Amino acid sequence: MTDIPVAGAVGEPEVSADPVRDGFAPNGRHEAGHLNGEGMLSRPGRPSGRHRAPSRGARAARMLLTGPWRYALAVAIIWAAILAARGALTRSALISLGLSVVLGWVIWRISGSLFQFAAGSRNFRLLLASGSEGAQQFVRAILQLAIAASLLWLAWVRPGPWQYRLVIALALAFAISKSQWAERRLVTVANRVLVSPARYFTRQIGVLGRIQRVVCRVPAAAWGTISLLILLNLLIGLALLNTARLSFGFWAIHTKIAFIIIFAADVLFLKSALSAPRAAQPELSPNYVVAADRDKTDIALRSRRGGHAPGQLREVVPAPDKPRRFRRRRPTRLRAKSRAGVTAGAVVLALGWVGYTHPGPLLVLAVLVIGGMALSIADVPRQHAVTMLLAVALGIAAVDYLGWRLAVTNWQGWWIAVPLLCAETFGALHVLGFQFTVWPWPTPSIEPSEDPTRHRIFMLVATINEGVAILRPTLEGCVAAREKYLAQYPDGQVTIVVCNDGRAGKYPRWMEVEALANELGVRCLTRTTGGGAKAGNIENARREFQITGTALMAIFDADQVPKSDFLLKTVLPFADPKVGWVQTGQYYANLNNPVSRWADDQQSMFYNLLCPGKAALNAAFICGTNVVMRAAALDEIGGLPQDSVTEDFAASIQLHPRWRSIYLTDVLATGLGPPDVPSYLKQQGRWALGTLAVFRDHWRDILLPKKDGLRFGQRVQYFLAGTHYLCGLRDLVYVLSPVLFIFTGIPAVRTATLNQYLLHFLPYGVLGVGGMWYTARGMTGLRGIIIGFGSSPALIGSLVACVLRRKRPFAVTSKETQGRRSLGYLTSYVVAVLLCLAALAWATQLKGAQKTSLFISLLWIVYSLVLLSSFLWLARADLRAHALARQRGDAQISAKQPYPAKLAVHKSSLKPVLNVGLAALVASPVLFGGQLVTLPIFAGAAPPFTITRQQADAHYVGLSLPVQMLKSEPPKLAHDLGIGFSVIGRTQDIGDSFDVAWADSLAAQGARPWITLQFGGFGRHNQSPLTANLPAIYNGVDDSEIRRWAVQVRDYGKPVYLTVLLQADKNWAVSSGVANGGIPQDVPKAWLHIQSVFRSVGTNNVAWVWAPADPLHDQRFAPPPSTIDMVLQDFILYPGTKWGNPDIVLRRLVDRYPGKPLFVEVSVAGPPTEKAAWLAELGHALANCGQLYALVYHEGGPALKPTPAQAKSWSEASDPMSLAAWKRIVTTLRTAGSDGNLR
Amino acid sequence: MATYVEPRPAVAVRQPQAGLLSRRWPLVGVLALQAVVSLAILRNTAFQDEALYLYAGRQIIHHWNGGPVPYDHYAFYFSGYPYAYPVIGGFLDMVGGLELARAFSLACMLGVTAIVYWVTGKLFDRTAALLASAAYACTGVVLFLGRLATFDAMCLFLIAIATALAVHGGMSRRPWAVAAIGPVLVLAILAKYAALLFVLPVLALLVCLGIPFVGWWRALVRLFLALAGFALSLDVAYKVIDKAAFHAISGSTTNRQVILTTSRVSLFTHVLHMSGLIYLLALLGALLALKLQWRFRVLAVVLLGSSALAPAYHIYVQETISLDKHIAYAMFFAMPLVGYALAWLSGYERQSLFGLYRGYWLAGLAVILAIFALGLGQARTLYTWADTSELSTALHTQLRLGTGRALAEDIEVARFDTTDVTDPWQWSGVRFDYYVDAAHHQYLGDPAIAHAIKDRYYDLIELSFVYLPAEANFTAAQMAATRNYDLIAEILFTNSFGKGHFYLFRLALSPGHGNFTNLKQLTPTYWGT
Repeated sequence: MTDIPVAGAVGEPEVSADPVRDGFAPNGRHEAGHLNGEGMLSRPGRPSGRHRAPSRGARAARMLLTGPWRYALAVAIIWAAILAARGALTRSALISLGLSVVLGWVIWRISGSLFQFAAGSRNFRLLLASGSEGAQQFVRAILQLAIAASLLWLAWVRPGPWQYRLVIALALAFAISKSQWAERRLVTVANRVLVSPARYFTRQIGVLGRIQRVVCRVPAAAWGTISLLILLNLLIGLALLNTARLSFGFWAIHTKIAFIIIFAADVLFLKSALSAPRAAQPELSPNYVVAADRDKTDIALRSRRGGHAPGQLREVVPAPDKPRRFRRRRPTRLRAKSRAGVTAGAVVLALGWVGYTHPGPLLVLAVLVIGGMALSIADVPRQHAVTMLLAVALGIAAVDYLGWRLAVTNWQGWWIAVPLLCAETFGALHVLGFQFTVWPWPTPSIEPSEDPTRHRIFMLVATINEGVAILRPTLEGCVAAREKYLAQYPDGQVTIVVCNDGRAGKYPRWMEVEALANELGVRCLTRTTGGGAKAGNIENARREFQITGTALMAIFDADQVPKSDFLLKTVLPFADPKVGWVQTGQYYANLNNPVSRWADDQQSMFYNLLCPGKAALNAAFICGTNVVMRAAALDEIGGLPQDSVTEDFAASIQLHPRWRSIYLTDVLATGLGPPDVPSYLKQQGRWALGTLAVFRDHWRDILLPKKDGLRFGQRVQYFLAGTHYLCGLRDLVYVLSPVLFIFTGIPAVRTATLNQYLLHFLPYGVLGVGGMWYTARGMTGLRGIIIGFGSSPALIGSLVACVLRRKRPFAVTSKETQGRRSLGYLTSYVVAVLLCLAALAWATQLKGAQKTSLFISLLWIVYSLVLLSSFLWLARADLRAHALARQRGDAQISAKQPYPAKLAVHKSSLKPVLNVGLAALVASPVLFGGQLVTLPIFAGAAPPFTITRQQADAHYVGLSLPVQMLKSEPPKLAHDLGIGFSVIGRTQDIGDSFDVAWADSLAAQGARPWITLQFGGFGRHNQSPLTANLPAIYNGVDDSEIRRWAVQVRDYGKPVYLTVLLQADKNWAVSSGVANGGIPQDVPKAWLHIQSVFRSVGTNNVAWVWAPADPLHDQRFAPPPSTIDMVLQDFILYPGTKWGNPDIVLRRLVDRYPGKPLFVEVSVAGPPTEKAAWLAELGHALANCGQLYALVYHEGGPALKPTPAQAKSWSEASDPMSLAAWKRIVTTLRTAGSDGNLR
Repeated sequence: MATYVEPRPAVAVRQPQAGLLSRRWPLVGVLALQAVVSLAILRNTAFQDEALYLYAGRQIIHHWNGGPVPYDHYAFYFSGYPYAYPVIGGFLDMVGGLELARAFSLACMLGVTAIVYWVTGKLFDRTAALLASAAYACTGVVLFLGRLATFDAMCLFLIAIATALAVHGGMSRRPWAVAAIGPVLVLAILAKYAALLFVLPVLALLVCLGIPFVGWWRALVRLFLALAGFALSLDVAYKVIDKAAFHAISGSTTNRQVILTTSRVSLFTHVLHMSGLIYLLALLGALLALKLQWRFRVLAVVLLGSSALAPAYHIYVQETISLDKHIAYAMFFAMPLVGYALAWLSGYERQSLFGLYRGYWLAGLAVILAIFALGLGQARTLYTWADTSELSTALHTQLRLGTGRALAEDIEVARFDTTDVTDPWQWSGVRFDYYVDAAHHQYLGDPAIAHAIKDRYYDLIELSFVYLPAEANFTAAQMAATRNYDLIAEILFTNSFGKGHFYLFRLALSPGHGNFTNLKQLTPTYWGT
């Protein structure tokens, strides 16, 4: 915080937007600057000699007026002005405001550094997974940000006895700012307090020794993160106290939800903190196993793989010294078929039953538990077990959700319901298909029987208009691969051919390609007439060079640069004569480009996850480049199909019934991804059109039974691949359905509650996301999903073209940055965003709509908005990157760059179960925070409200009113009387809440609230509710409500007058001692019970006003005098009745309650003269009454909802005479008050 | 002469494991699932039987602490000895409420599941044990019993312990454990007299396992030991217990008069509905054992037969009451066979990783999930008695400790729910009402109700017209005729039969001025008033 650079003062240039160039290296270390305490980037630099260093005060002043401080101050001033205008500018509000500004600034700074860090890291995700120091710093910065936000929240809400929390929070905030110091101290204290004594006890108690071993395994660097995490959880627990105190209880839903969220976050943070540094990647990882005896061949059929890949068993051959209970043994074909049949039958029946009954999340839990147990006893590797388990659980959850979804579909609104149902079903099919693909199928095996190195090999590089700058690295890579291959197999024959379509494609510089070929010593075949696009180009080469029969043919796109060991690894599997092709991945090396980076994430999903799974099912199709094919296979189908833009996919469908495919996960070639968003969309559109067209033309091969056709697994894979690009349509439905519901009011589902929706959707959603995250962790992430979502418009366009059978020319994906370009392609996204925003705005105006549907729709709209905004953010980053590139003039890029393998291999230093346990422990304050309310430090106690003699003689004057007159009347009457009221009374129901704002406003005017609390109102036939009965009160039926009131009054903290059991001595009372089953003895019991509840929560700021209808004759009802703080005497005088003598009444009352302060409430209606006369009489009586404490006029009369006429006639200002009489009483009391000053 | 054969698992050789916990993780998972599911789906106020037993337990404990003798002679009609489970349940209820008492039942049922695991593992292997325990934990009646504070869970647990002792004794070199079988079985019988039915199967298991594993004469020695222990325990029990219990044993178990007669076909169908899948698997397991496990051929038949005993008895006497609970007893004996069948279906007997990765294990999982899905529904259906929380609240608005009297149709639940605000003497039931008027005339039954209502004896009357509809109608008619009562509350409830109402009547302020004057003021329920 002390190293803030002041622009201009240090003689250094401004901090540039590129954090990498500024020394913020991706690994989290700084080359030129350093991270200060908050994780912020600061630059080294000293004031040059020409400038005098500004003084400390000047620097502070300047700092205050620059950057975020300026905005913070402006916001603070505006906010203070608003508070002042509203009359709420209290000291506590100012403190809160000040704290908010400080904390807001902290958040601002930390966020800034986080964004810089995230934006500057090219492989940010991998860095996080690596567990390096940079990642630790990043995690800590996030935690600090969250802590600061929590503090901000705490400061702003000022909940209850917030002083305690603020003190704690500030102390902790101080600890944060000194986190390094805190860490060291923490470790020291832990050593002294815990470790040393523990050493002694661990020798005595085995469990402690176990705990010690676990603790010792926690990396030293993780302690700081853990302490911050504990702090954050404590703060959140504190913040939740405010809601927990309102007797929501331990199992309150909000507590549980908060716990689950915080717990999940803790697991992630701990996982990151406890991760050991990234382990070295294994040198060898098999993509297939050799079924025959290895000794008979000299071919080492193993290739390096950069990590794990589902579908391939790491441990192909068990270590001889480790006995394995389960052996790899294939059952006979018949037994396997019958077993598979039994399994399939059982699974289908069970799924059918689940879909029919849709039992909900418990079944999913059962799957996880029982399935986990079933796998655990089989000694399956954990990763495979988890993958299988997640897949099965997801399958069950999906069937459960779809079954429920079908049952609640609103068929009346079919036009909105059916598309959404279809989209969801389609989505579920693909989610399940994903799990089917990544299932750890047995590793494919090959049976070598020939030497593939004797075959002729052709490396064909197809080019049309890419240019020599892109082609040169590719050809150089081919040459290097050939040299390395020939060095190992000198008898091999490798021919490199450039298949130049530039001339046919009218590329003006096609001759440069020929020159380049000559220069590098490779063959160049230039077509003069085009046709068949890339497939035609390749077929032309096949014809020219007689690439048929046993020859092998490696195909590359112009930008795909092969690694030097490409041939060494891809040729060997052809030892099995059934192998038709060997496919490798397609990776983008130009990761400095945002679009390529995001697209590479999407590619990683396919090449690192799905392709290995497809290969395990012998369904890895040809991807057009980086593939080696057996020419004989192509001969069988007459060469590559030339009527499709995805000729590779079409060829695979025809070849797969007879030929085997192998997929290698190694990074054996790298290429260039689409450099900008339009190129990406064009690429996706082309792929979608080709794939959909192939599916349209070959659906019979995929779906219909056919002898010697595709096998089941292959059919599934081709179906998934062929329909994948329909996801554009699915996403469109997802975006439009909630919007349509909001605008039309027609829901897609009916008779469904939110609870049901959550119960069925959450397991499905969580498992879907969790399953994908687990299998794809370290390989791909949200960026891949977002960019995939963003391609929807292009995919829909392709779908339309496919359905209408429109021809589109084969367009090569551009590899170069385009110049200035139109932004028209963004129109659809902006329209969608506006539509969503309009729907959100419209939703705020909806009344009486179906809340469940509305809530779900809003959730989906927010989800769509997040994705759309993210994609637009990418488009913005793309535009900025290109603008920068144009400025620097480095538009040309090459694929010859290092590519980081996205196969993270890292292990936790603690076992996952312990990790989860630790997370639960850390999050426990959130769960148990509600219970802390009862602790004295948090519960506290309000300062007692004791009525001193001086107060008793003060003669307070006030008003009591119906709620509808509460705001309007007091100022008016105060003006008429020329005084401010000291007591304002109102009646409230026990189901209401204590009106803190109203009470605060009274306190600001020097007045006190007087609440008459009723236990319900009269219902049908003038019956009071059963819960208002006196036995109900003292039997505890109303305790939760009473306690809630007590807590609210206690938290208010200032004096309150409280009346309960109003006129319980009469049968008209809501809680009566003579009616509704009540007996007089019930009244004191109920009174004492209510007081005991108030006392139990520390509500001492209440003066209890005993208010019977007839206090002179209340002996049978009255509670013990010691429990009464004051007694109420009502003078409610109706017109036309005989009005009693107040003097006699008051004198008898003093006799009945000697020494008790009296509350006198008056309300009179009648002729002005009579009213004024009686008020005068009352004035005399009051003047003579030594125990008078307060005089309150009841406005509005006795009616619950007075009409304006009633209100007028019962008012103290009903006529000038009455008002004058009342004024005289007030004046008399003022002079009689002991302090001479009427309050 | 038979020679001793060291017992060993029938199928797989157990591999050494890292520790006890890791070896038991699968079981821990299954138990956790059973507990979570039970607690999550089965929540309701006290069932009539629960209320009765726990209230009885409280009264007995209160009496032991110097309180008055309980009003009811529980030993005379309870289906278990009132000084066994009710005392435990009552104590737990006093300490932690109904949920703690139910937690005891849950603990017992978890214990039964654990014993299923242990016994199946002992007979077959760990895989079968896991699948058997999982299948057992997922059945509806087991989930149901784990959340019912009655005799059954404890009784079944004791039977399970006796079975485990028999299995251990039959396969072990040391015979002494079998001496404990007798006392445990007697305790089980005291817990619930229906346990008498399972004495023979437990002893048969001992013999069936003893013969192939330890030989003829050693098996006979073990049988003798077990019988001696049983006889001795019975003798002690006979001397100690209240002899009125024999009336209860006769009335509730051995010579039971059927309360709800149902046709045998209906009962058979019901048994199939509740446990058909389990029996199918048990049959498959028995056939597999007959074919593949020569040692367990007789045992398989005994297990299958034992599992059929309770349902067969119910079908024979055509009694519906308690059939569902007794199915849980029956299934306990079937589970080892079920586990074996599931392990076979899942392909574990081939010990092939290939099969595992091909997903053959999903067959077993699918069957268990089907059992679970069925069980969830069944348990929920079994648990749908009327929720009395609103009734309890309403009663709390009217009752005073030590003052006033109340008459209730659902007296067991009503007085249990209001233990904190009433004394036992304040309650009377509509079935056996007894009243002495001011002139010291004594009345019993309907005349007692009629006179008590006429004399405004009761301050509060509760009726639901479900449990004892005839008595309820009579009481309501008396109230309408005398006009001495106000109808003050009508509380809707739902149970497995449909919807109904609890009605609360309060003594009117003045005689003959009550607002309840006609039975038509009561809302017709689905089954009529």
